[in-house]
Amino acid sequence: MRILFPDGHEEEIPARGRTIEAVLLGIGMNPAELLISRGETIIPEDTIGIDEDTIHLIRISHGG
Amino acid sequence: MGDDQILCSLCRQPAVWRDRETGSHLCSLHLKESVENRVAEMICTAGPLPDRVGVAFSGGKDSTALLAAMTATQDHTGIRLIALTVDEGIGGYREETIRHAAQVCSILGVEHRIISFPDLFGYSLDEILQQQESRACTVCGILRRRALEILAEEEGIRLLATGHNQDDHAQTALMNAFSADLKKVCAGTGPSLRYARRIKPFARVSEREVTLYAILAGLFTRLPECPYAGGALRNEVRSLLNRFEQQFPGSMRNAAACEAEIRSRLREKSSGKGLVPCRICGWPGTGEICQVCTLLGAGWARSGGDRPRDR
Repeated sequence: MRILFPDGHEEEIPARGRTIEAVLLGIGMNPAELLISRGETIIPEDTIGIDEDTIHLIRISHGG
Repeated sequence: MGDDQILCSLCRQPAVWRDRETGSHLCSLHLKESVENRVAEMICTAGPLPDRVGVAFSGGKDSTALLAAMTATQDHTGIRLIALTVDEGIGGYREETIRHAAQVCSILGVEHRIISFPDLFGYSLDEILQQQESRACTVCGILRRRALEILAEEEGIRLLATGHNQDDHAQTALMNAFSADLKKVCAGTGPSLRYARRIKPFARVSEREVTLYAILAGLFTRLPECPYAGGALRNEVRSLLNRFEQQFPGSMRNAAACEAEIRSRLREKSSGKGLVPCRICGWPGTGEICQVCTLLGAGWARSGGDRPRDR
């Protein structure tokens, strides 16, 4: 699964049948601080990750 | 893609949201409806509503979502809105967010007024902070609050909605506990004929829901970060609370409810204490000299603080 991070960098991380939430926790990201989009669509974090997918992480907090 | 799609618990459309406490899911329509219902409820339980309500509108994600949600609930609340923006004068940052604010108001059809620090105080925030950048958020908060109060007063606004969400309240609860400063808990709640009464329609809406609402309303734009926002204590507290929320869903809501309860009980105890006019600028506050005059000295009040502006 290709993950586009809020800072712009990308990583390929195997989903291994896990939810996106579990994938994120596995790489030290806190899903409670993020929203997840697949294409133009927002999806819940308990969606099962698919290796062919690209997901985009949107940080909810912003120093504005 | 497709088979793995999670559906709304209410209508079986594709879900965009999981309620982490109940495990239920909502689609775009029902998430927006859920947020708008809570916003309308907070507004309608805020006591008598004037015809026209001000919305503190920075142009950032939270206030953009608030303006959109309050616009969407106008049929229910029956109020007219005016967006009030403070331009603090932060070079390389505020220009773009002010432009975004104007665009959002134009899209939503909401009247928009802007007031700037240089107009009001004689200096931009960048200039004021030259000698005290480490206190940026404190200084900006004090001045922005006054600017909003003055703008609201100029517009005859008696009720002002701010975009503080549930996470903000939870963070404030913890920060107040860390500082053990009870006066801060009740700050800004004193009665005054000059202050617009404040409401926080997002007080029961999480920051994740607010962000999602802005995205679903088509009004979410990645804006630059405030250059002064970096090392604030609030960022550390936010991160701490988000870790708790992930591990123990509902922690954020409970902490926010705790803050509201403490505030309510303290307000009962302090309800007899009125505000007094500042000896320099005359604005009501809790001390002899208000925070703005303490910060800027007497000069601002003589040169511009009480000068009617020709906007």
